[in-house]
Amino acid sequence: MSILKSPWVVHFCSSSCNGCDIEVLAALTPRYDLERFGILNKGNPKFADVLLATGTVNPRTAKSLKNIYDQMPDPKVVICIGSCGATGGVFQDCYNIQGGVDTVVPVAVYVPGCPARPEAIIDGVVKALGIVKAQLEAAEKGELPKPEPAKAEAGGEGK
Amino acid sequence: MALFSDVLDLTILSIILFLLAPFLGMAAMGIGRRISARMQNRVGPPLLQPWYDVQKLFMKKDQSTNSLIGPMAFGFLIFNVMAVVVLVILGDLLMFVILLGMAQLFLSLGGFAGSSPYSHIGANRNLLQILSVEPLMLAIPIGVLLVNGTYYISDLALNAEILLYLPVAVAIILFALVVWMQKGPFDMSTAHQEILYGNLLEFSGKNLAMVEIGHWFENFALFAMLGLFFNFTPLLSGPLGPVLAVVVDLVIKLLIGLVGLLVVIWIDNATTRQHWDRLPKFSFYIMLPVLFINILLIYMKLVWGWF
Repeated sequence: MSILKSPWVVHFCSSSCNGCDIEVLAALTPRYDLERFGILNKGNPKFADVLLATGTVNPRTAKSLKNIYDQMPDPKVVICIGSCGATGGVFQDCYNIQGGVDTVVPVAVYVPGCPARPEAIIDGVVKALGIVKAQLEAAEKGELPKPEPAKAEAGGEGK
Repeated sequence: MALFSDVLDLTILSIILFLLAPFLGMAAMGIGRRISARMQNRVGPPLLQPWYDVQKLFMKKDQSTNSLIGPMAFGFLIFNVMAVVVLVILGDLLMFVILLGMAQLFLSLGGFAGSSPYSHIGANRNLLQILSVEPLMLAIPIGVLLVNGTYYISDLALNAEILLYLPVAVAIILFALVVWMQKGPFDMSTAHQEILYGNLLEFSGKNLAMVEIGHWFENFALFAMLGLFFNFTPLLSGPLGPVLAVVVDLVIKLLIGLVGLLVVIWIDNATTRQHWDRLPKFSFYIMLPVLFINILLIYMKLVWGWF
């Protein structure tokens, strides 16, 4: 289960106030030192195991979000950070907002908060890795549950 | 000059060194990340972190966009392995340096095989790194030839005075280590967060794992080359006996490697990434003249006999 010991993350903000993104980067600073768990912010979806998605999704960013998710090699997991990513947050009723991250890609863990605290983000990564571990163990036994399909296709009206 | 095989059974030494090579190269990476973290007031990852990374990468699905990327990653690995083989059998220094350069060429080709523009930028910068480092590296065997009369590492390893003749070699190898370990200020080809790992961008899964293992062998090769300029076997074989002298010599080489690693990590942490044209300028305007003066001094002393 070496994926638990070296989760590499890629971080994408669909559209928001960037508060959660600042908190994600804060978690990588010496104060929280994510590298002691082997966590590295790789910035390249082809290297990444974990997608940290923040912000509400609009038709334009949905395309990019789906693209980044598709480029990540399996096994992979998505963590949605902040209220905006979970539900749309305060932007929920805006004319261009499609909803949370889970309208485009399957989300394993929702980290609440506006913005989410670095401690909560670290906790979310740990929880998500537990989910990956369970999936891998199920796959070894031959009873792998099918990954949840994306609820809506990327793009939508804006395509 | 005595042959190395007179001193120690070469076959056993070669096999032991070859088996240790990837682990020592991995340790250089693990310890390097740890030292780097301590310099930044962090705890840092476990020492076995490179091992966990590679183990994970082998588990991941291959997401390559071009079927050539796999062979290129394998080429990088196999040429580094070949370089290490030439080194541990105490073969030809010139061949060793050329094989190390060839290995990097495969990473460039892998970068060009990718479809992303960042991948192409990285591949071009990797070629620039080869252009800047390889002429200097190739000059080391020439200096060794002038002093020893042969290219053989077996003769080099028994020459205790080589450092006095060719001190610039240490600077060149440290420069090559900074460039090929992708440390600042010259980590331009895989510049993370700038061009997103450049020529490695399209590598994934087991291809990336092969590149990582290739880097382990490459690290071992470069640190061992640094150690080859600090030879104490001829001095120690008198008081300690031939076998113990070689063992003590190898331990000293290991310590020299650790000091080299510390210097490389310090340079990485103390400098920022430079613009890509600073690398060939540094190489051709500073390193090359110093190297030229060094070779000229060897000529004056050994060939022309001026002093």
